[in-house]
Amino acid sequence: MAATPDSAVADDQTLLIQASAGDTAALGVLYDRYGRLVFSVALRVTTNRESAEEITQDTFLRLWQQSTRYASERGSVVSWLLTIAHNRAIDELRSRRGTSRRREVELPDFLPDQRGLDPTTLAQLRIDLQSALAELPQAQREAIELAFFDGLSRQEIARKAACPLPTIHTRLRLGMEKLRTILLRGERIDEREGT
Amino acid sequence: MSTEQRLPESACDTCAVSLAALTLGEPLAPDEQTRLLAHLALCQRCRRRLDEYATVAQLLPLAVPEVAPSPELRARILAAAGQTRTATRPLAPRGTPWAGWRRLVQPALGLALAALLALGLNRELAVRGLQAQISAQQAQTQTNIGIVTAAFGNDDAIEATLGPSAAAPAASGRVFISPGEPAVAVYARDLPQLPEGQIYQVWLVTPAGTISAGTFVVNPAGRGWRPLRPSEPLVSVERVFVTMEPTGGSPQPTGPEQLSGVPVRDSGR
Repeated sequence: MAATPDSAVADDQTLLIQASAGDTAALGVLYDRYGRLVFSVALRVTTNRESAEEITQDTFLRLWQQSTRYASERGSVVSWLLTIAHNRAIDELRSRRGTSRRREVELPDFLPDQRGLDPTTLAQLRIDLQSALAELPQAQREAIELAFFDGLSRQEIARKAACPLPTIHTRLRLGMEKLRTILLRGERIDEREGT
Repeated sequence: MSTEQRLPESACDTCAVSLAALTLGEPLAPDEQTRLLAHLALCQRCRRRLDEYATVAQLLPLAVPEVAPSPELRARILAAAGQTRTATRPLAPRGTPWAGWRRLVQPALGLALAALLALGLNRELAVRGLQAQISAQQAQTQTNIGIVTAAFGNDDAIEATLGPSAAAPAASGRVFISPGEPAVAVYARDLPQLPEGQIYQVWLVTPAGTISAGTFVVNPAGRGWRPLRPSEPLVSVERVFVTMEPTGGSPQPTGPEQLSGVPVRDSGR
């Protein structure tokens, strides 16, 4: 089945409805929108192009297989894709390290509704995030990145950074506090603690 | 009576560390989960923190610089999709470790909405989508919070440590019961995976007989937790046990015991 002529401008939910009817062209449009982003997240975590492409393929095929469900829900396609890709990549990383641990919960049941995101808004959001991260003291930013992108536990971060565990706790807490202040409340952090 | 309490700043700092780890992807140990849940049940400020940390974590992947995959990847994905039918019964991908917590502590959803608007997302669509979710989830969320708050926050709460059985020799768990209310919170670990069509059911032995507190499932690691609302207020509970029953639960226990324990009043809180 072919996508309709409007597929290229259809919103994500419409594309999911088309995909749930077996329209691979609709899946292609979603890939064109988010494929680079999904691949980039997988590559950032795994640092291996082959693994990142495999994760990207798995992620889009999961979306394809579950499009029936997601077409009927008010979720964010891009957030769902990024969550699945990130989890898959972290699992692979932990598996390589021999520290594989299953995560706790099943399906993301709430995601910010970003269906209306156009490329310009998405691009601005990414700039805001990069800017917010750049405002953090380096030690806090590194702690957050090691946890999120490298899948390290607090103990593992402490060992890697050669710091006491309480120091890592403080860095993570202050870093997340600052990010939420900057991103969600539109404030700026003037001080530069080196904690 | 309000169950919200002004907790010491240090307690909230400790909670914030756990929330940061959880939302960034670290699975928490059972003890830390229990402490976190108990704190969240009493602290609105930290429930808001959970919501906001989770939103931040969900946005973090967007900060990654974009790199192009190989041009062939698109064709490979579409070819594989063409050979795979969309599932009529969806698979269950695992999600963020904090998703389950959010299911329980959702009242700060309005803040997430405000956060999204502050981020400059499409206002109308964001409002419409999130309000639909709020309508769908708020009633259940409030019920869950009430149960957990009663079970953990009631000074008269009684607690049962659940021990293993021959059917589940590695299993353990805890149950919190709020006397006088139909409010129970259960946490179990290392239970066997449920066969198709089966579910775990919690039973309370009272002077009037054995009543069901409710059912729960476990994740692939054998862990399960949830607030339960028995059919009647609980005045006295002599024993708690868990059985495996057909999906939907049974009127009386039919399966072998998986976990059991005797409640004791938690006078240490």
